[in-house]
Amino acid sequence: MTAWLAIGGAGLVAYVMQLVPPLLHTRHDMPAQIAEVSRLVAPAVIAALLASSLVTNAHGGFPARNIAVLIVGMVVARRTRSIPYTVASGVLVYAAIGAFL
Amino acid sequence: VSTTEQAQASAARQGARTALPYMLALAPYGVIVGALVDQSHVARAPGWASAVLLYGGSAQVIALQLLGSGATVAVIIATIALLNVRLVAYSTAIAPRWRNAPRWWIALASYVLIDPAYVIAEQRWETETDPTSHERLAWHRRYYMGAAATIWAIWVAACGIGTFAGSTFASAIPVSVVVQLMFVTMTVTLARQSTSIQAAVLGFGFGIVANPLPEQLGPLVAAGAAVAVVCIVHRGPR
Repeated sequence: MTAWLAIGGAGLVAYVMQLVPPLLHTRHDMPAQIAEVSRLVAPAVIAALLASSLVTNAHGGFPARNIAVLIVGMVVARRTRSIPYTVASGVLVYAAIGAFL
Repeated sequence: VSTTEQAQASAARQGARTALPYMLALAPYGVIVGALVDQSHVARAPGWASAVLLYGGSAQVIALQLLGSGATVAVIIATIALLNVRLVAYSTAIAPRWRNAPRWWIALASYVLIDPAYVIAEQRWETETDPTSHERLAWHRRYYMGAAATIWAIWVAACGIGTFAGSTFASAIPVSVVVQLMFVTMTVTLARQSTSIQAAVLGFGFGIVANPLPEQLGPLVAAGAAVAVVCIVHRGPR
C-alpha cells in the first residue's frame, strides 16, 4: 500500500508540475533565475542520494571497493554519458577487485 | 487523403524513427531499472507501475531506492518533485509551440515529456525556418508525439521485461553498486556547467554529513543546502 501511495502520489505531483505551464498557455521562457536554480536541483539531489547510498551500504566501515568502482564509473560516464556502459564497466571492476581481495 | 494529412502522418513516423537510436541505449537501462524492483523489496505490480506512473528512469530508481530504505511517502514525493523541476523547465520552454493544440493532446504530450523526447523536439525545432506557421507548428507537434510515444512504449516494455524476467540475473549482480553507478551517470550527465558541478559536489558532501537524519530526510536536506549555497555564492555583491 505504501509503495502504491508513494509511486502514485509522486507520479501525480510530477505530472501536474509538467502539465501546468502548457495549460496556462505560457508564451515566455521560464525566468532566467528560476531556470538556473532548476538546473542545480537535480544534480544536487542525485549526488546527495549517491552519498547516502554509499554511507548506508558501508555499514560503518570505509567503502574503499565502492569508491574505486565509482571513480572508474565517473570516468566512463564522463566519456560516454551512457548508463549501460557505466554500469557494465563498474560491475566488472567491482568483480575484479573482489576476485583479487 | 490530402497532402496535409500525409505530411502530418509522415511527421509522426519521422519522429518515431528519430527516437529509435536513443532506445538502443535506453532499453537496456529500462531492463536494469525493472530488475531493480525485484531487489528493492517493492512488489512487482507497483514496481512495474512506476514505469507508467512515474515514467522516467531517474525518478523510478530514486523512488525504488527510497522505498527500499524505508523513507516515508512524503519524503519520496518531495524528492521526486525536486528532481522533476528540470522537466517543468522543458514544458515551459516547449509550451508556446503547443498553444493551438487541444487540451487532451497537451495532457498527453505533458505526460510523455522526458529528457530524450525534449532533446529530439528541440533539435528539430532549431532547423525550422517558418516558426510562426500554424501548419508547421502542427507538424512539429506530430513529430514530437511520434518520438515521445515510441520512447514511452519501448521504455514501459523494457521495464516490464526487467521486472518479470530480470530477477535471474539481478540476483547475481551487486544491486547497491549498480544503483550507485546509475546515480554517478545521472549526476555527470546533468552537471555540465560549473554551477551545477558545484551543486553536485556540495550535494555529495552534505549528503554524507546529513545521512544520519531520521526518515531518510538526509538527501533532501543536503540537496536543499547545496543549491542554497551555490545560489548565495553566485549572487555576488549587491
